[in-house]
Amino acid sequence: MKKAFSQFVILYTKDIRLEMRSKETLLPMFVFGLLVLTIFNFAFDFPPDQIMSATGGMLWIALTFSMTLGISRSFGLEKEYGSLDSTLLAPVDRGLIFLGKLLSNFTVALIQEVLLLPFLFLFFNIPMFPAFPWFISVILLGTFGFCAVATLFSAVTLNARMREVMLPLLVFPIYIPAVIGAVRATTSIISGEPLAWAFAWIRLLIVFDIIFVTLAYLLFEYVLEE
Amino acid sequence: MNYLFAAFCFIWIVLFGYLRFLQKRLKALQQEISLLKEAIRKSLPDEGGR
Amino acid sequence: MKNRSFIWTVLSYSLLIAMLIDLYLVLLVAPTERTMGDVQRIFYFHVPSAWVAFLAFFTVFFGSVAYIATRNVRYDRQAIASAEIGVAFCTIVLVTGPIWARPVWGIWWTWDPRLTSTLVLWLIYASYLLLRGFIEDPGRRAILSAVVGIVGFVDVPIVYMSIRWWRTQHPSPVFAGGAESGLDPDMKIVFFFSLAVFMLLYAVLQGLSIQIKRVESDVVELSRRAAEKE
Repeated sequence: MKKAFSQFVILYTKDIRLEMRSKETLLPMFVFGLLVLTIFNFAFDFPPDQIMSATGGMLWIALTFSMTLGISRSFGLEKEYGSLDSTLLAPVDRGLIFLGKLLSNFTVALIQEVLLLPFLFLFFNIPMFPAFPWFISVILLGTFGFCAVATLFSAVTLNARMREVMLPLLVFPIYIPAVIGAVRATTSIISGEPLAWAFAWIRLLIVFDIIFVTLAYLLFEYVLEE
Repeated sequence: MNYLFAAFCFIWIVLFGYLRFLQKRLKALQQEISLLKEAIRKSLPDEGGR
Repeated sequence: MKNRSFIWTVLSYSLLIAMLIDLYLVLLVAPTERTMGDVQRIFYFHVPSAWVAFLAFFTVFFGSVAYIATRNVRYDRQAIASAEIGVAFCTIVLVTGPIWARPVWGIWWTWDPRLTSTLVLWLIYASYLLLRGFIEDPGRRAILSAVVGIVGFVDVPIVYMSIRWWRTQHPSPVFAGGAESGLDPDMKIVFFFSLAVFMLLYAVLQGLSIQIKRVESDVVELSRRAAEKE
C-alpha cells in the first residue's frame, strides 16, 4: 500500500513536472477557453436579466471544450517524448498510471479554471453570490468526472488514426449525464435558487464520478497492454 | 397515410442498406480469395496448380 | 456443417414468409386506432425496432465483457455485428418516431427522456463504430472497442435517469405517452407477432454478419501468411 502510494506520487510528479516545464497544455487550454467565452458573448447577446440562466451552459461548454483540447495531448505528448514506453516497462500497476495521469490532468484543468473563472464573472457581470463554496464543489466534481472519462479515452484513442477527432466523439456522449447535472447545478446556484435543487444534481455528479473513476481504473490495464 | 408510407419506406431502405453493406463486404472477400488462389497457384506450379 | 447450412436455409425462408405475413397483419388485419388513425400502424415496427436495438446494444456489452475475460475473437465479432445492427435499428427508431410524432403530436421532435436517451444511445454506438474504423491492428481494435462497449453501456441507465430528472424540472409541452397502455387484444397479437419477426430478423442478420467477419479474418490471416512466405 505504502509502496503503491509512493509509486503514484512519482508518476504524478513526473506528469506535472513535464507539464509545468513547458506549459504546452495549460496555455492553449486557457486561451481556447477564453476564446469560447468571447464567442458566446457574440453568439448570444443576452439582456442582463437573462444572462444568469445561460451562464452555466456557457461555462461548461467552455470548460469541456478546452479540457478536451488539453487531455487529447496527455498521452500523445508522452509518446512523442518516448517516456510512455519506459513508464510501461516499469513494474507499476497500470491502474496507478491511470490515477497519476488523471490527477495530473485534473490539476492542470483546475489551474486553467482558476485563470478562466474570473473572466466568466467579469465578462457577464455576475455578482458575487452566497453559495460560492457549493459553486466550487460543482466545478470540482464536474471537472473530475470529465478528466476520468477523457483520460481513459485518450489512452484508448492513442493507437487510433484521427485520434484528436475521436476523443471528443467518444467522451461527449458518455459525459452527457454529468454535463446535465453540472449545468443545472451551476445555473441554479448562480441564480440564487434554493440550494436543495443543486444538491440533487451534485449527488448525480458524485455518483457519476464514482462509477466512472472506478470503471476507468479497472479497465485501464487492458487499454495500455502491449 | 403518407406518414405511414414514409416510415415504411425508411425501414426498408435501412434494411436493404445494411444487406447491401454486407454484400459489398462479401464481394471484397471473394476478390481477395481469388487473388490468394492466384498467388498460391503461381507459387506452386509443379503441384498441378493446387 | 451441412446440418448448419440447412438450418440457415430454413431460418431465412421462414423469416421471409414471416415478414410478408407481418406486413399483411400490420396493414390489413390490425384494427385502426381510433384517435390516431392509420399512422398508428408505425407502432408495430417502431417499438420492435427499439427492442431489437436495445437487445443488440446489450449484446455489444456482453460481447465486450466476454472478450476481455476470455480473449476469444468470437465475442469480438458478436459485439461488432451487434453494434452495426443496433445502430441500424436505432436509426429506424429515431426516424420513424418523428414521422409518427408529426401527425399525432404536431411536432417532429421533443426533448422527452425516451427520445433524448435513444439519441444519446445512437451517438455512443455510432462513435464506437467510428473508432473501430480507425484502429488497424485487429487485437488492439478488439480490446479497445471492448472497453468503449463496456463504458458506453454502463452510461445508458445514468443517461436515462439524468435526462428524466432534467425533464421533470422542465415539463415538456406535449404528453409523450406510449400506446402500450390498454392495448386492444387484436393489436396485442399483431404487436407480439411483429416483435417475434424483428427478433428473428436480428438473429439472421447477426448470424450473417458474424459469418462474413469470420471469413474476413480468415482471409486476412491467409494473405498475411502468403506474404510471409514470399
